[in-house]
Amino acid sequence: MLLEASGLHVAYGDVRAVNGVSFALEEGELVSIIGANGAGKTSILNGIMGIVPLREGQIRFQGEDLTPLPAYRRARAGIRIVPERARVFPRLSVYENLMTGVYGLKNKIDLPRRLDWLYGLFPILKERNRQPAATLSGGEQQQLAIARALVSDPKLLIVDEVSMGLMPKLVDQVFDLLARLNREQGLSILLVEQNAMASLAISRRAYVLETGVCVHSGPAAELMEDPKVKAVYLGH
Amino acid sequence: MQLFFEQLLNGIAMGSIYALVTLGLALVYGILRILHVAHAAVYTVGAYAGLFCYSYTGSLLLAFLGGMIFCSILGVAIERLVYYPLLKYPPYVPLIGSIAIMLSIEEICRLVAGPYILTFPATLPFPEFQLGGVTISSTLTAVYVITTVVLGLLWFISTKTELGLAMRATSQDIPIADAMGINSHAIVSIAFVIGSSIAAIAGILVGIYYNQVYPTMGTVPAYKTLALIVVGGLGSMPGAVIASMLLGVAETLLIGYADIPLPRDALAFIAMIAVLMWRSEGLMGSK
Repeated sequence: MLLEASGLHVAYGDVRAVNGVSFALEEGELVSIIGANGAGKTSILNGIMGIVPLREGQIRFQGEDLTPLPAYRRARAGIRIVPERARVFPRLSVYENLMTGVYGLKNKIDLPRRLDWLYGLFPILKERNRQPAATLSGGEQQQLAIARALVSDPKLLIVDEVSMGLMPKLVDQVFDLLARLNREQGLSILLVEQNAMASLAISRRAYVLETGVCVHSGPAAELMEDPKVKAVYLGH
Repeated sequence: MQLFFEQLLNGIAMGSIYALVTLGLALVYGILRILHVAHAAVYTVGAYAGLFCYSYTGSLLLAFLGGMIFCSILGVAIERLVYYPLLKYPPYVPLIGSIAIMLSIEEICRLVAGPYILTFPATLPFPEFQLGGVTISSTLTAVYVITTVVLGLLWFISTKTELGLAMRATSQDIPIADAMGINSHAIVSIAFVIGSSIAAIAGILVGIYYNQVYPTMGTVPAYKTLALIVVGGLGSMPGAVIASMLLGVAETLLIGYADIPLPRDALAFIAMIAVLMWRSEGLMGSK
């Protein structure tokens, strides 16, 4: 197992966001966590990244216990996040944003090759290289956030609500890209989405979340056919 | 005309010193969104530590080094022991903490070094210049050169190095900086080391400039630098430098040359009120 999360609890003050969720992800898998707004999806990802503290639970990554490690150590271990609403650094240039993605690792990776590859995937980023990230459109910021998470050649990419606020055409492109990264590069991806249909379509397995509890899980293809899931999440 | 130029040169020196102190404030505000009022007390401690090292070793270099090291330790202690635990509360809580630290440090200085004015009988080893009948004293030269070097170094670190990138990223989004592999807490501490070292330099320069070191020498700078970061744009380092320079020159020229019947220290606050009324984001602020 690449990632094993067991019994995760996240709470903000007295508000419980996640109540004992467990899941796992194998190397090379694309797994999604779907659920309505406020189901605790983002809290799970932030808990895995270390951006919010866990009340309880354990996270193992490549067999190693990550639970006591701060976020920056988890990032260096190979977990990278595409945060909700992109959250690029607004007053850093596009290039500088990409450089934050390889902070402390510059000498450990073939940076020019990685950049060439990313500029190939997102030509707009090369064009806007020197511009402050705040001047990019929402879709461009989302591309920058994905690129920033990919520069360091991560072992696990976690993607938070990437479809939010994007035009439908862009949503298709982004999901297409994630599916390709997973298939062609073998990149392990954990995807959190409200857009259940689109994410199930590219996932191998999925977990369905409801108010902080996992209510279903299984192969994505089966979940797409499950009448209960269909009724609640796919709008049929 | 000669008086005008003399006052202009003094004003630039004054502005340089304001800039050195205000930079630390802008740096801390930029990252933690805390009004680090106690920074002015760090500046006072820098002057005392420098004077102490100087009177024991007779070396100005050791005085600067000693002051910078001592102030760095003090600055990081304030950050770790007071600000960090208070960050989860609304901004006025760390602000109250900061004011408390400032008053405590002032009192400690009074207890340790005595309530009187100490002299700082040192001359900075810089050349004197004659410029069309106007003399630029060695102290003025020293202030100019040291300020230029400090600003240049800071600009270089902030725009050309990975540390600077990490500092700017941390000042824009701490959790995401962490998620990018940046140890933001260490970056915050480094910012305090830099800001406090610069405050020590400013304290020693002022001590030598006026040949005075006393416990409350930080009081007026505390209020004034607060006004200056508002005028410059909260958290903006270029704004802090520009506002400081303008104020230094304006104070000296308006009061020392044009004889405007206003208390010198009022100008900073008039400027702050004006900026708040017409451009509340400050000269270089965003939004």
